[in-house]
Amino acid sequence: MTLKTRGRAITLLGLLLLGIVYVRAIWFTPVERLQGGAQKIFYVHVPAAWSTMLAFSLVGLASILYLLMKDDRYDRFAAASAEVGTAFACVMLTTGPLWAKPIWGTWWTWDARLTSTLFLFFLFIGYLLLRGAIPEAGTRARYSAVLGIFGAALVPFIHLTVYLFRTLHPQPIVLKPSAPSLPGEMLATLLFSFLTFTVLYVGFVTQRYAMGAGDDHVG
Amino acid sequence: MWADGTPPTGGYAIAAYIIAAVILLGYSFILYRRGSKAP
Amino acid sequence: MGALLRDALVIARKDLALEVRTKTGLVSALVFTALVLTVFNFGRDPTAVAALDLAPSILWVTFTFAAVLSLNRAFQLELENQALEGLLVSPIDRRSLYLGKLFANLVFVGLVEAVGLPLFALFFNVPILHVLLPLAALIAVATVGFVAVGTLLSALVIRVRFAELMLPVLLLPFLIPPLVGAVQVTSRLLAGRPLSEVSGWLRLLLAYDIVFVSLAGLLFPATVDE
Repeated sequence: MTLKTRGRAITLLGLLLLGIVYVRAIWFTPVERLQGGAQKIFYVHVPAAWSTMLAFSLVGLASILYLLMKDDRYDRFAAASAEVGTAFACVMLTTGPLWAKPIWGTWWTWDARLTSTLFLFFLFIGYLLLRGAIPEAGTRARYSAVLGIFGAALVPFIHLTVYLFRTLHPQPIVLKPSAPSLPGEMLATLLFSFLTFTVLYVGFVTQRYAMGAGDDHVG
Repeated sequence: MWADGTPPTGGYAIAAYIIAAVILLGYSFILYRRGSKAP
Repeated sequence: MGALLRDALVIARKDLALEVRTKTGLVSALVFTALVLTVFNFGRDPTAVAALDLAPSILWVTFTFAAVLSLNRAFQLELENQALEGLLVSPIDRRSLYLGKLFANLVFVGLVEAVGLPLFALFFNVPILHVLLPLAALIAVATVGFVAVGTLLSALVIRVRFAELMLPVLLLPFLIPPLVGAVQVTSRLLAGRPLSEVSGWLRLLLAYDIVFVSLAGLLFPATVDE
């Protein structure tokens, strides 16, 4: 089985699992008392954030490995992970406001998760734009790796900034169920969704990586 | 308000689920098409 | 270590000499800064919002724009004068190259800020003399962060199409943490509040500088070597 075919199979599995998550979340998970139906967005929004973070961390890691080992495969992986990460970031950034509006009354809130993901989105886009603008493969790989590492170094500062900012401007107490204190059924749905999104990540990246061999075109 | 007191915010959930599905399915489809076209 | 700095200063001096010869870069940056401040003034309703509330943000957004502009001009100079190729042939330590560019950019941006700050105080009627020293120190610390990251990222986009647009797109996300920190500290300074209130932000600024100057120095060779 070629890598591409394997990637497709994994993606298909992921999509199937996603369907199951949807069904389970909508019909077989209790409605949360205080937030109502909108709380169910949580089961898609949080795993999407996780996939975005995962994608981003791996871009950073692959970047470091590329500069150390000069192995093209790391560069290809980084490119794949960045693109996939962008897709998950889009999911996160669209579901986030749809959840925020009914719960907090405002479409956008500069809370830690949304803000970090927004930054990751910008960094991903910048990364992909840079890649698209450099036709020569070797230079492109090196420059992307530098940007990838820089981006990874930025993330703790974003978190720190949001933390310090929120200590200044405390947000209203939010009724957000956090994973450990969730009742059994909700936790199960959430964990299953995490698994699903991870499978989707692997499937997407595998496919994108397999296609990366012919990547030497001008963006 | 539903009878048990939960607020009727389900519409947002439906919109979010649809958009998320569109993005994920859409990206899957894009990858599939690109994979089929590549030499 | 000594050789590193010495070479860096040589490079910095060369860059600045080029700048002095043409002068248009510095003048444009100064005029730009003055114009941005002017726009900010007309963009707000003086009866609705006190100058002191908005002042820190206005100052720092202006400085951010000026820094991006300065960095753009820095590598334009590079491209025009083929200076980079000449330097790479020489056996100079790549880190000196980075430090040299960093120094030159700091001097340039520093000059723009040195003119921009009094202009800002004038236009917005903001008293700064009583906190001038701490304010200047803060500006220095934040600017080092801006310019450290900006200098490295300019090396990445130097041969790229639409580089003047690419640089801000890549750079601005990186400038948010020091920008927010600088605004918070400036706000406390202007309000006459003790700096202990913003110790968290000050530490963020210092940590940012240390991390990114080191990282940039470490990674700069990857941007110029084959």
